[in-house]
Amino acid sequence: MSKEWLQVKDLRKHFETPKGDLRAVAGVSLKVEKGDSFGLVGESGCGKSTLIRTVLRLLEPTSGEILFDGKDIAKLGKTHIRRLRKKMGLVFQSPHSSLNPRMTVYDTLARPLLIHGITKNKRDTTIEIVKLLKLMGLQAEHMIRYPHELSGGQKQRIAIARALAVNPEIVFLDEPTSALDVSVQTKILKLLDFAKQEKQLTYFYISHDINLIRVVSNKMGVMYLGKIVEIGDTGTVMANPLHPYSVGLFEAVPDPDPDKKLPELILKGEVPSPVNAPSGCVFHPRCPFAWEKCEREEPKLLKQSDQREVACHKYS
Amino acid sequence: MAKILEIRDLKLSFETEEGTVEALDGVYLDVEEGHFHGLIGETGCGKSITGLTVIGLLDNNARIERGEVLFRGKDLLKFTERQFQREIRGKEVAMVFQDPASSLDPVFSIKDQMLEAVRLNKKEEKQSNERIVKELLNKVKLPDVESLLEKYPHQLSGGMKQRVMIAMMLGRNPSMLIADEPTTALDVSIQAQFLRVLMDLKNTTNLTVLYITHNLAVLTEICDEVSVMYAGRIVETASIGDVFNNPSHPYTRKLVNSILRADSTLDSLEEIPGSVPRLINPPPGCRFHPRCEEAVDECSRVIPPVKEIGTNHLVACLRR
Repeated sequence: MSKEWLQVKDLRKHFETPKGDLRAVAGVSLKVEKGDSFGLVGESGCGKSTLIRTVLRLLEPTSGEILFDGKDIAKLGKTHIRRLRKKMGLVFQSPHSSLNPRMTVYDTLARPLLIHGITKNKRDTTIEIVKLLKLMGLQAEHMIRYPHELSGGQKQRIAIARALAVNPEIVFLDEPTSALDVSVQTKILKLLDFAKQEKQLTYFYISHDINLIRVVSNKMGVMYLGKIVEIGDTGTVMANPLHPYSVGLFEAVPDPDPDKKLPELILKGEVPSPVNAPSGCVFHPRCPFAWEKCEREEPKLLKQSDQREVACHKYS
Repeated sequence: MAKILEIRDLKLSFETEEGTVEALDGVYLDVEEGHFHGLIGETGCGKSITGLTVIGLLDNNARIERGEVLFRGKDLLKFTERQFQREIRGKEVAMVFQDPASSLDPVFSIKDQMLEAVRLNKKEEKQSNERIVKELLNKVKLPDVESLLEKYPHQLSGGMKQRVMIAMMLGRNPSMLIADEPTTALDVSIQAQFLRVLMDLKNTTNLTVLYITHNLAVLTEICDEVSVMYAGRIVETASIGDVFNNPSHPYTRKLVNSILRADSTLDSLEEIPGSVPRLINPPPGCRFHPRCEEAVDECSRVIPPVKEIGTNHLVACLRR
């Protein structure tokens, strides 16, 4: 197994707007190894969803490389992409809108199985669907239900089962629990973890919830205005974030400890628009440590140790 | 300390095509003046309905079956719409909603909307009203107030809009604010800024806040007491410290152990089996019993009364 199993190199995705180019993904490089659970955190509008949609080729990349299993999928033609889809699954944030309300659970799950030729006849399809439902802690009887007859948690389990139906190698999970109540969140996370062991999957989580990423990932990245500012082992990054944005972001998370008082606020102001983003380091207008160089020169992701890379002039 | 709000045995239902939704069933809630009181629960538990009842904004199909909602001793359930408008809404009790975009009028500038709120208060010179508006916007720590006044809602971020809402609310100087998931649509860094604005008000004014949310972690940052709501009933009320360190009701315990913390692992997280019941024909007895590990036969028959198990620590569970 090559170490660089999924590797994104200087990937860019720009959108044209009347006010200028919106650089949603502005040069992202990252690696995911087989068996990893990679977590990407960032606030809304930082480009995390656009990033995974571009990696999945649901959006056409503006430039850059996406190496998957040795091939550059940024340049693949349509027929090859379809084959690729079988290897990459995607679970969306809201199961309320990602499931077709007019399709039963059976139809929803049968579709990918038949399209990708995993099962050829009705009997095999049913057997496979029962297996998938079981994997997600549901019963065969759920097969004949429509989405409106299921709870939010059950719907999300169907959406996950659909992503797993084609035996993907990597599954992208876009805020898989943020539309759900806390009492069902744990169940989903545990089922995902179980499925990962069972099917030897690789996960790519994106979330705005830092504590969620802490729990589910072993590698993580912090994204701000289209760029990765810090990336590395989850334990290392969480225990001692280096980039001023990571520090501020982690500090802003409400701490469920009633004895702790509100800490000093580090992140002031608001995220600037990705159209005409700030020069140099995109974080410099909000950074308490910024100096003249930060305004001028864009910091590169530099290795700080074997466990982490940081894009900040303070550490270069 | 005086109680500003006392909800007694409130039962409320909605008529729908599918049947009667028993949204609130015997809710008891006391809020002390000057305190920040958290009301936590999952989707559909009735926490927003509780807030809307206090401010008199229930939908037409809501039916109040029994109970009292006492605000400074006066029963709001007996108030007419006109009385609500004149005596309560805005003046005594204000409400801030989850989505600030839909609370502001898109065709009026911030200045116009702020002035309207201030003008309702008392007749004053135009100039002094403008000064008051600027002071209010400064109070919620909005930067660059001068240019902000000329802007329209769509030009502001969600966090800024929410702070404009707070400023507008302060303009009428109410005694109580009902905040219904005010930070749910905001990013964590913006949420942190918003919570600090509230904390500042807590330290400098005598404002009472009923903070409605599904996020326990947010409550720990600002609240004094918390009431936990499940399927239309309050199951536990205690100080924020007790809810976290000494939760009593089985639902509260599960809830506390299911939130993601800095030291959570997949193994340490608890799950609650099943899902929240529908409130058309809800489970008899204790509504949590079908999901409760400690449930006994009696739980499916008897509605648990509220018991005091410690100082200001109330629980509705037969096993306590």
